[in-house]
Amino acid sequence: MSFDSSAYLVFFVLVLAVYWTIPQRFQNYFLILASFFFYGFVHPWFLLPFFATTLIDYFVANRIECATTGRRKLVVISVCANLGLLAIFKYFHFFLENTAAVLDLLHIHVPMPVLRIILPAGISFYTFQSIGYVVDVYRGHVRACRHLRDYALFVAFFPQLVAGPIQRAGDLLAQIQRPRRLQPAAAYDAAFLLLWGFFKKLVIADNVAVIADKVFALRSPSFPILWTGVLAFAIQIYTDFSGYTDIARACARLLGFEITRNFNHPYLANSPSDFWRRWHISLSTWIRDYLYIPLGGSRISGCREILNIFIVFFLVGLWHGAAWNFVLWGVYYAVLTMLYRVAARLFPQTWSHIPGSNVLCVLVMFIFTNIGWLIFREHDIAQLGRDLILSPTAAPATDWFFARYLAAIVFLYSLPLGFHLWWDIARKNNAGAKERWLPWIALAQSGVAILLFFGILVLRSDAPGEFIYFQF
Amino acid sequence: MSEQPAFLSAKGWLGLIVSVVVVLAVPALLRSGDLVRYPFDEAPLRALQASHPDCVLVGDSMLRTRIDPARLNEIADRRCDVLGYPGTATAVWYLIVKNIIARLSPPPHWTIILFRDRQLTLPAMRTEGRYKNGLEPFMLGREPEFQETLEKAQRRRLPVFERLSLFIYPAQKHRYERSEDLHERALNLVSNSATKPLLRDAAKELFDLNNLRNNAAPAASGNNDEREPVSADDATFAASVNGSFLPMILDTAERRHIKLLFFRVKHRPPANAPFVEEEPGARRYQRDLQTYLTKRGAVLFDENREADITLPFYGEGDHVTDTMMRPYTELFWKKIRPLLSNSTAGNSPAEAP
Repeated sequence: MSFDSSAYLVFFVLVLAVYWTIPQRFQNYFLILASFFFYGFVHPWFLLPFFATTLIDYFVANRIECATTGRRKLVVISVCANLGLLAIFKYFHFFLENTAAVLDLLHIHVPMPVLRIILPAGISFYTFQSIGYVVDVYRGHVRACRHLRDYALFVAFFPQLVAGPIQRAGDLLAQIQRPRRLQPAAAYDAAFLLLWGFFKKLVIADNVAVIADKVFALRSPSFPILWTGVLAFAIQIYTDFSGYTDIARACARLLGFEITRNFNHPYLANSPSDFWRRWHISLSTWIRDYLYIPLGGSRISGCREILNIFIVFFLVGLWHGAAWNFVLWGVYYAVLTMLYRVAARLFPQTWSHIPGSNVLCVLVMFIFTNIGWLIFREHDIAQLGRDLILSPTAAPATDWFFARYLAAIVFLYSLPLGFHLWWDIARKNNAGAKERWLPWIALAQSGVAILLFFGILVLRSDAPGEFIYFQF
Repeated sequence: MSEQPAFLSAKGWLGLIVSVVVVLAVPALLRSGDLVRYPFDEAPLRALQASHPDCVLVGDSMLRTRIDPARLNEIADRRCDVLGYPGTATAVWYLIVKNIIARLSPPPHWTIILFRDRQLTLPAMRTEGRYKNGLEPFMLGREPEFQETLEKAQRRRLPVFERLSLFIYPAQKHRYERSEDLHERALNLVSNSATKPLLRDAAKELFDLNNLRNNAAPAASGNNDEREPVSADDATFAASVNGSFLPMILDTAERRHIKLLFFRVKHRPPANAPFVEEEPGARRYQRDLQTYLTKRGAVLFDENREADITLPFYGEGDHVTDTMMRPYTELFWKKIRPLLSNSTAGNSPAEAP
């Protein structure tokens, strides 16, 4: 069930009404049932790998806590089982395809089995969440969950099940295990966040997607047209994914839960590391805590550090999809991160004294981010190669002119993001605002809410698309 | 967690409820009225007034790609004009009959409408989104009767939830116009009145089908929208005819003593068969359509089983290739000439070979 469908709206209103009406002791049971219904709504068989992950990790984690020996083996069992499921559903076809290609190169023709497996939505998200829980229990950061009910809800919690944010057991599981209350202020914030999330998805993402799709459908776009399409995609993917996260956070908040923020104005990043601190925060912190630091992090020798960065970003790329462009995208960030680190070591503190240097760094990083999005979006590697060597001087004048028009459309649709940034900064700066301003802020927020809702009604795209991160 | 005093919480909830009601209610009060942005296009009317046709052909790209007007007038024993507008359907055809053909003095003896499938009883087809721009140049003023029929049909197509939403928030009706306004603003940001046409030409050229990758071309060609799913309500002729523009077309023609011929064009045949074998429901529909039209004094010609229109005639989808337009026009005229002489004739789908 997709967040932007009328079915979800009806589902969520009913869930909300029943959830806050029934006694607290039944709330978790009810949320599990609702989550299963949500997840199995279109393909009930999606629940099978999901049940497997839940049951394996529930029992393994409890066993780890009781065991005095062989704890590491249990973690390995859990990780292998989870990654095995992920490998079967997400990477098996990719593996076969590439094996066949390599064998073909060696003139060995082996007929490969053809398996058409639909990728269960959100499998990469809940698999990582579940692995994180087992590792946390192993490390002693959290206690193993005694109730299968609570653990099942931790994995299945529908607002964040399909596209994250990836939750930590210490955070979400703890909230599941205690009674929840809804305060009017939290409900008000949640309602606003819900509107903003829908606006980002339905108005900004779906409308700029039309431009990105058109440009990426071209056989041989010129330099200005291609990069305007990439810019449109940059806005699309950010508003699509962060819109989803906002809706997820708002729905969770209305159910009395607080889930982590996944974005922090990523296009204001001034370096690759900063970008990953702002983009898909739950994934990057997961990778940092469960992969990068265990590998030694940055406190090791130069070569090992480079290798670690390479491994981490390779896996980040592969996590996004079983295709070479995603792998390349990961490798691109690995190279970029390494280059930035080398530059930082060669020229420490050189730039920071120059006025406006941060703005310049943000602009440069934004350009690098867009190169990354081109790699991410272009599935045809041969085409990608052609795109990357396009010359700006070879483009006809009409294409530059037309690209300006497309960029102007993207700019107009993206204007609310600018207002949101300003709002966010103003709110942070005035965190301690005197109480007398609060009613006016609330009034202004209501006015903005009316505009957002009206915007959704009249400006939403005629061609709504699926959330991009649903495919991962 | 610190608990709020009960009265504060009650005040908070009340504030929240008021805010939610206001946010939901205000957009319901905002109506943008009827937005008609393109004036009536007098050009086709003037052209027909000048040529005094005896027969006018109306249709979409099926007509435009099939009939060569020059060749038709060479072989026909009367003056025939062609009004073929790709991307149109019955809503536009009704407006053409009412606002152009019926206003001619003297009116033509015959109007021939080329159509496919159940098009004649799908009034909402090709009327929303980008197709809206195609309607307005044929509208004379607000066209209340037309609008009422159209809106009813459009609403009928929507799921209950969306129908309700449209009823509460009528401003949604003008979504396409709003999006076009925004695009126009973008255009104004980068161009002036002199360069705007250049930009439009550049867009057409850039996104031409030939410039698209193979996997993107079929979706972009727009040739797929014809086969839109038909709801259970629209599947049978009896259930769908009264809410459609067909009776209105017939009434208008009758008032001006214009005879109508409905020509159902043949679908692209499969490689291994002379024609597409239709499912029983579609055959029943065609029989009912035939009976209805005969009763109303109109003529139906069903080309679907005509053996002379073979696969080499076809280009993209059901369109006829440029090179086959002339032979197609000749075959077309051969078929309809007897019908134009004898108005009670026609070929029944039930009797077709």
